[in-house]
Amino acid sequence: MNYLVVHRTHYRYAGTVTRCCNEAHLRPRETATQHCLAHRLEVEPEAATWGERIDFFGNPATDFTVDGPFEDLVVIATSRVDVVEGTPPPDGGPAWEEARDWIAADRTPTGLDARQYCFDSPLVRVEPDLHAYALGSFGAGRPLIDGVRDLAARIHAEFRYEPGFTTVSTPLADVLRHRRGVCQDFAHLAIACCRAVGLSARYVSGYLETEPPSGGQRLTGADASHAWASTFVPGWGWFDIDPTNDRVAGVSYVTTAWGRDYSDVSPLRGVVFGGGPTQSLEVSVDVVRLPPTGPPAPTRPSRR
Amino acid sequence: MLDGYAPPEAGYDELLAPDGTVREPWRGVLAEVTASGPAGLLGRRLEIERLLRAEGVTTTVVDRAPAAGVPVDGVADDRQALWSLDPLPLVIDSDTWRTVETGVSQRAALCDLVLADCYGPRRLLGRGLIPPEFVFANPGFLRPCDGAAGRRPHSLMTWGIDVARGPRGELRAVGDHAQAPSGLGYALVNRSILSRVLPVAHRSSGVERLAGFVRAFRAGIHRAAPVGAEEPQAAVLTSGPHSELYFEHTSLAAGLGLPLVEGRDLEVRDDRLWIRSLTGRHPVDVLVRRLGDTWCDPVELRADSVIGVPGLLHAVRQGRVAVTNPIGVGLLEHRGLAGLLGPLARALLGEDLVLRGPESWWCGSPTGLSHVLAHLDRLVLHLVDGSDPTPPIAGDTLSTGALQALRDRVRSRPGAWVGCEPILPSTTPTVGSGGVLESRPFVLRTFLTSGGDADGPGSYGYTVLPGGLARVGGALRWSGTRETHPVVSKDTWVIATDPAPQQSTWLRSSAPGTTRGSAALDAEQPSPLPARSGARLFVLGRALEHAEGVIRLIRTIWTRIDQPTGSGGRPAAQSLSVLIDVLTTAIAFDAVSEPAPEADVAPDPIPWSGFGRPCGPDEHPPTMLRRAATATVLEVGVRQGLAPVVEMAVQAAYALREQLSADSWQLVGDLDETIPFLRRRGSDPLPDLQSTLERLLRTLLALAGLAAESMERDQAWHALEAGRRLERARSTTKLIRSLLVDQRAGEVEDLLLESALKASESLIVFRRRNRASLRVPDALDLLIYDRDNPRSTVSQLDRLVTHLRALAREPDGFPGSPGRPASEAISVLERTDAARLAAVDGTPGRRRDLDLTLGRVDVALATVLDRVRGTLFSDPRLSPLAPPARASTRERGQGGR
Repeated sequence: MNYLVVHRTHYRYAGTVTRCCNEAHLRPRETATQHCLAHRLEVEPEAATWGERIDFFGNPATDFTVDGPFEDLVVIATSRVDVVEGTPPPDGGPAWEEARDWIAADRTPTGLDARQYCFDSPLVRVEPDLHAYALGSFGAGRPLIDGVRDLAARIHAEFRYEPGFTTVSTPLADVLRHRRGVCQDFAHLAIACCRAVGLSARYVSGYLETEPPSGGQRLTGADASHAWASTFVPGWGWFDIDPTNDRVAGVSYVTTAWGRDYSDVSPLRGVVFGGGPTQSLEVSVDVVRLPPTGPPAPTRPSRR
Repeated sequence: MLDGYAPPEAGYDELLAPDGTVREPWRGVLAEVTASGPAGLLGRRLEIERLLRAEGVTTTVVDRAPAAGVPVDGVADDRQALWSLDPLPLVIDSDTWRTVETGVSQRAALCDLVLADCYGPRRLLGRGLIPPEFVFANPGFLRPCDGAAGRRPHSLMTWGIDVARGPRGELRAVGDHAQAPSGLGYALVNRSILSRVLPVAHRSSGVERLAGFVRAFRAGIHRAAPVGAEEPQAAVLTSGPHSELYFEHTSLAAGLGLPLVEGRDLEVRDDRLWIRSLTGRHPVDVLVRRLGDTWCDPVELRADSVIGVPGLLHAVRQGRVAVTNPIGVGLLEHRGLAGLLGPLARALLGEDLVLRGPESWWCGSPTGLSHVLAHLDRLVLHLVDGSDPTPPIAGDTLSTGALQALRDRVRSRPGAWVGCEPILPSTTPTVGSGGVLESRPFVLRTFLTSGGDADGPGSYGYTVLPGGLARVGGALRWSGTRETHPVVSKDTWVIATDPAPQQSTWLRSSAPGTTRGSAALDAEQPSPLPARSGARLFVLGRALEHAEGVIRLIRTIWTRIDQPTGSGGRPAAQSLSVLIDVLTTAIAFDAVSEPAPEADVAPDPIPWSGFGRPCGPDEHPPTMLRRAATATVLEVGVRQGLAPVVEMAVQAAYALREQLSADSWQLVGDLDETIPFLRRRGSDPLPDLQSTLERLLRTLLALAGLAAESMERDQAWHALEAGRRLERARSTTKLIRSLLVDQRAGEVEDLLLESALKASESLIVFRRRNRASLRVPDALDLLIYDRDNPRSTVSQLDRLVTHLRALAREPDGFPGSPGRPASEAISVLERTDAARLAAVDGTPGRRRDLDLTLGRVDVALATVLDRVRGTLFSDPRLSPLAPPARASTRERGQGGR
């Protein structure tokens, strides 16, 4: 499946910005089932310096600085991505306790790579009530994949998707107590539950193609950047699950980056000098499915 | 003298052997120190305090939430607490010292290897020598530094290790300080002071000198430079004047001859690090940082850090700048790591550990957990996170209930805890109250650098400061490796078997601020003046000048108040009331060029009617007027006007201490001491206050004299002088305008004219030139135009233009240059003259030209101030990029539910 993804971020400042320094995680990474065919990152006003690198988790990252004066900063990432169907996960897989013990004991690079996602991270801290919630899906001897799917199903059923209820700094405990949140929260929640029982789980940021209503025109800009969770299945690999939609993250998901939680892979972070007392932000994402043959070159996104 | 000196029976005492005899290395020192008895020791303590005060050796008392019952007076600010040093050094024999030296060097070398592995191949995890938790669950492990920290051998350029001696005399390492080991500056100051207080003992007992270590440290900075940097430039990065250890940062920078910079003085451009100075950008190859890992770069580490340098990690990864110690070393402060060093030493060095830590058990392993839970009542529990400020918990101090609660806490998160055997540190004699010797426990912080030429066996490539900072605790028990505020510090004397030839000690030749030193380590070239230091010098100049102006005005008013009333009472009263009005407007200090957090401290002028002047002075009996005037001078002039400005000058000076000479520093101390007197409310007997103000004025004049006579004519001087000239030009202009624009009855005008001349320190010149006649044009000529009068507006403006020209990066003709409005002000004045300005029109008479002309000069000067702030010292606020708004379905999540 070929997708064209246009991710546009527009910052507006009340005062003049003299300079800003940023780190972007906007280029879709290479995975076993995904290949980035083309990528362009545009910054307006033009960036003064650029640096491309691969971060600790293997994600492409871009450092850039922009010199002022400016009051508006627009960052547009345009990517063309090919996503293929992966091998289906084994039925159920190993029992989750077996997986847990394997991950704890394995000292090979693969084992250590999985192990690093077992611990608390800046935004995911395992509290006792999270542990209790997790145990609802991980009964004794239950196959790992069953447990993870059950967890996603429970989050989907028991939590309300409510934008605006949480912020980046809302603790997971509050999400759990109020049973509300957005996709980041649900991904963090699933990750915390896995880690609570000793499993390895990481945060995946990316995009999801929304199916157009049948027969209707696809709505441009209706899509958004998305987030889901992935857990390590020993002997098989990483199993991506989307608790927001209670779905296995398959061919309609485009992966940008992964890390321990949102803080490792936020699409844009950085600092500005000046800019006055307030700033506002507008984000839009378009995910367009391209025809299978002869896909056009990435179109130049419109600037407003 | 040793009667009554009673070390605890269970412990090890450094002075007395178990049989009660004085241990060998102490004998010489003790003989001199105790010869004069308790009175002698107390005398030495006073002498130490005097020296500490004279050199301004302080720690900044960080203003946390004020404690209950502590009055918060005026502006809540950072206060300075005097450093505390015991008159008796800690004495260590050379054999013991060799063990310490070898032990800490081995530990540093080992930690260096661990650092390189953890930020590199991480083989130690695969080999099972380090649990994955110690890296992946360690907040000190900074992923953006992977591959960069520990890239080169001896990445740990410096290192601080706390050493204690246990009850059986065994030496233990009880704390590791990796990120920016503090205390080195204080250790060097301690030596500098104690060698002056105990000169004979210091000379005769063969104490090992410290100068060699400082040279090695400088070499270490040099060696850390990126490959290809031919003449490496270095700088010391401080967290700023609000840091608890700012004194240490300034003294270290001064001692190393490096510029002291704050994050805001630096910027990363073209993959390199630069100092933003008044004369442009200067590259930095090595940054000696004195702030914690996570504060160093807000782009990739803590986004809320405003003291770091955005993009620093990027420049580090590009290999264009070295930060020392490398960012990410906080990983080594994991408190469980100490317990693994034994096996690591055997695996990596093929040796046993020379200096063991306290026996410890990490609760993340099942055996560790069960041991700790079983012996919780006698162990000391630490959180493994080295940056967590929670104090350690001593099990034997807990009730049964508290023990159970602790057990539950440990069980719920075992990997976060480590349990250690408590250590009963050895004791050393300390001068107690009354000058008697008391036995107190201590911990010694040692300092290492990889910069020396040490290559012998047991050096591991590290050079150790022979001595260190001994910190003496008040209680007998030292609860572990955690920093505790010591009661007093001590110098540490290692008695050499073959004393090295005497060398000049580093600190004496470069006590804080005697020279600013050079930027290059080897080449002599002028040190760039960081923009923020420039801004502070400018504020300092303005504040000092402003204070002087206010005092002169107050003095003038007092003359009027004291004037006998009677028949001439009414004019005197009228002129007094005008002067009081001037005072209430003139005290406002426009603190613009110093950015936050120092907000504008100018108080709202208290309306003079608040002191009972509902109507004109004619209706008032002179005595009431005098009383009201006195009250206004005290409250508005002194307490609200003068005190905050003097305080601002002191704070600016403190932040600039590496720029100031020792003499200036003493004068700043004098300024600081007058602040409480100035702040005190109305009840002072007037004569006391008058003498305080006279003393203050003398101090201000002495500072001005030092600047004129002793400061190098460099950027720093120009910044300071520009501030002075701008402020004096402004205050003279304001004074003339408010006193002389309105024409008044003959005698009143004479008095005001005299006051204007007096307050501008021009009365004597005027009298000499004009004998008895007091004419407005003559006075205006002297006060505004006379270039021979150093206080005239024009001569101030001339000098202001010169200084700004020297400071500005652009030529003076540049339309936006700060000096341009000042030049224009001169032209405005020169287009007219004193006679025309003195001309009166209308009834009641008004000097319209004078008002308009001086009004334009005033506007021009305000523009200069604005431009200086906006261009020369531009310093925009730093804030994190807004996180995506989670209210928007467009950014967050998928709306399909």
